[in-house]
This record gives sequence, C-alpha cells and structure tokens, in this order.
Amino acid sequence: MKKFVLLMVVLSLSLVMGISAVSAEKTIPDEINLGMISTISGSQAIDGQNMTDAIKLVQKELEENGGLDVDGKKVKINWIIEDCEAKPEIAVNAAQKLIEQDGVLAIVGPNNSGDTIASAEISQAAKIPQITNTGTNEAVTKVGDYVFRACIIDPFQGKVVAQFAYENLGLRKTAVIYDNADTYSAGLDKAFVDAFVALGGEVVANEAFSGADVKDFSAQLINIKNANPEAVFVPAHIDNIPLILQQIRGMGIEATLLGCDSWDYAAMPELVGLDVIEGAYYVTGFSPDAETAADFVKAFTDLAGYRPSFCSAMAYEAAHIVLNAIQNAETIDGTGIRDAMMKTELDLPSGHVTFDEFRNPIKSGIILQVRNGVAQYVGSVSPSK
Amino acid sequence: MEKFIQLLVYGLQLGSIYALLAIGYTMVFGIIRMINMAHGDFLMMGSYAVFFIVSLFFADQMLGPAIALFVILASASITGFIGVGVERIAYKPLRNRPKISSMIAAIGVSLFTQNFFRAIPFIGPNPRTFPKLLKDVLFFVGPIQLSLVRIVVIILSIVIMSVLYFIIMKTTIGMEMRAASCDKDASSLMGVNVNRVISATFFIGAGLAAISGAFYANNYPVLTVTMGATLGNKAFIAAVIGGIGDIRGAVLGGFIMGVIEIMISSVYSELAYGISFVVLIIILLLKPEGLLGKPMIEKV
Repeated sequence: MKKFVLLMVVLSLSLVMGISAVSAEKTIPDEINLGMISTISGSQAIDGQNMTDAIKLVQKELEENGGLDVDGKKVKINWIIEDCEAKPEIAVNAAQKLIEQDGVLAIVGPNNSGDTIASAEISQAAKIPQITNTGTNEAVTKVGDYVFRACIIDPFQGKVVAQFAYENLGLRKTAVIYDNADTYSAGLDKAFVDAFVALGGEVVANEAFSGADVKDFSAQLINIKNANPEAVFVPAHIDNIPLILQQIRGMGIEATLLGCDSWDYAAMPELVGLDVIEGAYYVTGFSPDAETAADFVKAFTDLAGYRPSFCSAMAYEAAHIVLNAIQNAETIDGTGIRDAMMKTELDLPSGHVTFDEFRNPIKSGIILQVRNGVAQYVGSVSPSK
Repeated sequence: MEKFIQLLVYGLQLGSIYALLAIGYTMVFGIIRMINMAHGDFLMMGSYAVFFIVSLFFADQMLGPAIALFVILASASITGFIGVGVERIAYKPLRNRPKISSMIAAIGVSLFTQNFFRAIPFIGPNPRTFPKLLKDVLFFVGPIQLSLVRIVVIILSIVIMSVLYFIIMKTTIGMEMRAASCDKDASSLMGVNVNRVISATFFIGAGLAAISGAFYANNYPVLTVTMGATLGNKAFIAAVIGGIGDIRGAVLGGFIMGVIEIMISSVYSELAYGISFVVLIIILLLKPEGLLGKPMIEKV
C-alpha cells in the first residue's frame, strides 16, 4: 500500500512537471545564481576590489527594482564571488565550484587573460557562458563559442597605441619592455610591434623580463637606453608598472611613456610618482569623463568611495550584458543565455556595444594622458584594418 | 667594455640586497643548523615597520640620514623581537625533533605571516608606496652611471658582514654561539645558556632581514605582503652558493647571484631567469659545499 501511494505521488508529480514544461514556453525560475571570478587576493587584489564593488553596484540596482524583470516576473539574482589569486589553476577550481556546486547560469570574469583561458575550458564544456571583463588577449574567446569579453582586445589595443604614437604623436623609433611570462603582456607586445612596423616605424629595442617577481629592470633598460627610442611602451601589470617607470626615469631615459589598459587606476599616478608619470599616454576601453559614463561613475563613486577603473567598468558592463541576455533569452539556461548574448544591443557606460562573430565587442579605443597627476581624455582612436 | 662595467655595477647593486638578506639566513643556519624559510618574511615585516613608523611620525617629511638610520634601527629591533617570539612559539618546541620538522614549521610560519598581514585591515592586499628614506643621487664616473644609495647598500652589506664576523669571532656571545653550534648539550653543560644564545641569534637574524627590507624597499618602493617570498628564496640560494653557514660566503653568493642575473638578462632577457639558475647549479655541481663552505663531516 505504502509503495502504491509513493508511486502515485511520483507519477502525479512528474505529470504536473511535464504539464508545466509544456504549457509555459519559457520557465522562469524564482532565483538565478550567477558567478564572478576575480583576483580577490594575490598580487592583483586591487582588481578584485574593483570588480567586487562593481558587482555590489549591480546588486544594489537589482534590489532597488525588486529583482530582474524577466517577462514581467521579478527574478532574484544571487551573485557568488570566487577568488582566483591570479593563478590559472585556482581559476579552474573556482569555475568548477561555481558550475557544479552553485549551479550558476553564467560567469563574469576573471580579469586576467591567462586565468580566463584556463577557466573557460570548464564553462565551455558545461555550456555555461563566461564573459571576462578585462581578459584582453586574443586567444580568450577562441576557447569556444560560450566565451565572451566585455573589453577591446590586445591586438586592437596594440594597434591603437601604435597608430596613436605614429600618427598623432609623430614618433618613428619606439621601444617595448614586457613580461614574457604573462599572456596579456606578451600579446600586447606582439600586436604593438607588428602594427608599428607595418605603419613604417622602427622598434629599436624589444626587451622581456620573466614574471612579476622581477623587480630590477636595469639590464633591460640599459639596452633600451642605448637604443635611444622616442617612446617606451610598457604593457605590464599594476604590480610592476611603478617600478619599471621609476627605473626608466631613474636611469635618465627621457622618452615618452606609453601604456595600455592595465595602467588605468585612479591611484596610479600616486603609486608611480607624479613627476615620473606626468605626460604619459595610455589606451583604455573606458573613460569616466565620457558623457555616456556619467550616471555610472556617480553611482559607483557613491557606493565605493572611489572612481571606477577600466576593470570595474568592464565588470559592470559584463554583468549587464549577462542580465540583459537573461531577459531576452528564449530559454533560461546556458545555451539560451549565450544565444541572447550574441544579439546584445546595449548602451553601456563605455558606449554602444554589440558583438562580432568571435564574441569580441565592437567599440573604439580611448586615449588618456596624465596631466597634473590626473588621467585626462585626449581622444578616441579607431585603427584602420 | 663600458657596457660590461655598467652591467657589473648594476649586478653588484642588485646583489647587495641578496647579500644583506643571505647574511641573516646563513647566520641562523650556521648556529642552530636550521633553515629558516620564513626569513624573507622578516624582510617584509621590517619594511612595513619602516613604512608605518614614517607615516605615523614623519609623514610628508624628507628624512635626514640621522632620522632614517634611527627609523631603520627601530624597525630592525621591532622585527628582531618578532623573530625571537616566532622562535619561542613555533621553533623551540620542535628543537629536538628531526630537522625536517622545524623546516616545515618555518614554511608554515612564512605562509601564516603573509596571509595574516594581508588580513590586517590597515595593511591589506593593495601595494603600498614606500616613503623615500634617502634621496638618491645619480652621478657619472666617465660613462658609468652610479647611484649613491646603491653604493651605500653595497658598502653597508660589507660593513655588516665584518661587524657580524667580529661579533661571532671576538665577543663572549659570539663564542657561546659557536659553542652552541658545535654541540648544544655539551655547551649547556659548560654553563652556556643555549636558549639565550638562540634568542640572540634570531634577534640579530630578523633584525638584519628588516635592515635589508628597508634598503630593498628604498630601491624598489612597492610594498606587498608577498614581497619576501621570492627574495627569501634567492637569498637562500645565495647563501648555499657561498657555502651555507659562512657569512663571507653569503655576501659573495649574493653578489654572484646579482651579477649573473643582470648579465644574462642583458644578453638574452627571454630566458634570463632560467639560465642564471643553470649557472648556479653548475657552481654547486663543481663545488657542492658552496664556494667558501667546508665539507661537513657527518657525526655518527
């Protein structure tokens, strides 16, 4: 008898579930878990802080609206944040935990190209879309068709810097110092060198150092000094940029300093030294001075107490691209969200965003210059192909 | 040739930092036969101590050499006492256990201090800018560019080496240290207070690490809680190259490490790190006890 009752219960339950699946075309759950992976600890903990604050802002907006509006139903969004310590192997574990344990439907981050490439293998296999905020290396979205990015890519950045240096600044002889143990840094080096040479310029010194543990660059810099370049391009990470720039000036190299989006921190001029970084140019995908960013910059500054960096702006945009896709998805699962992300048409703080067929956003590069200790908007560059 | 001499100068400058740190490493090993893997973290504590003393008491001032010296010595003694405390808590209970136990305890201390410091709110994970203690002056001797602060560090590492050599060879505590390093039990029977000797050793060792931290951070002014890890490893290698336990060897090893690293980076920066360690392995293959080390006879 007991067995019969149990059987009936199971049968009726499955019937109810079957009917509901058929009757509603799109099942909208009450709650959706979304993940974020970031460098909360380790050498790039600043990025982790920026991204966490960006997600807090997104969460605050959602709470003010009572949840995410999906076809008239308010869905509660839970953000689960995991630390990857800027180590690919830990990023892989974080992605595994988010997908298998927390059942997230999409992942934002991590911020580094190397970590993203490693962890995206997991989300690609599980068919869960992943969108990195600042993983700018070209190879990131080549992992598979579930991997997106919110920022402009390394070859694009490298081209922007090269074109700006050659055409706008009129420079013909440049040098590069980069980290050959880092995908981001090495990728930018290659893109810059290729583009600058293609334009007709000469890269007189291209020097590598291996890893964030190197603190003394005198051997590389003396080669650069002897080559006498007009500008030095430094595609490094935040933990090395101050030391490299200080040692460049300390050695008496007077060349113009050029940088990339890893330079984009409000505290950078102070960290490097105002006299050292004054006059330096760098490219980024986001400027807080742009008109489109005004609302976001105000909301972020009110919440976090400091102005948003490129990293936090892109985390904010990545989160909104995912939320927008959930609203437009035909089915609320990894594949449905992915398909909706491909059709993104959104106005975000950095401007209008759409995706190309390789899941890279279509935007233009923004050039900033440090003047009186503050990075100021110089102009936008869209490199010709 | 000009370039060679310039690179040699840069190499000696970098090597002087390794040498300063290696002295402490090798001294602790020489006296209590223990490899203190947390030595690099004393460097980190020392440079944070300088950072906090300066930002609390001398904010926005250019320090004169006298105040700078005072601040460095103050943070060296703070770190020295931390070193003594660490030895009492983490190493002393393991003193009569196999050597490997205290080495693992030291690795534990190292990981603990890094993460503990990161968790303290006013230290945190973000890099800090180290205050300029001494204004650097660049000057030229012919075509060779020299930095005053770096020269001070090179001279200082040699001075500290000599002072330490004097302490160990000529003073009573030094004699007790040497006695304890020969045989703890016998020297204890002879009236040597072994605990006091070991505490003194750790005080000097941690204090030296703090001094090297102050000079390191003055040259590379970005502070992070993990800054001691790689440096500690390099200093350990420098100590081994020179012959661990020998203070003159530590200084020699440090200078060799720095010069090799810079020279190879200049020729082929892509593989510099790897190749410089290959050179060090070759040195050890040819002279396993280190350049100035004496072959040790295993007591049965």
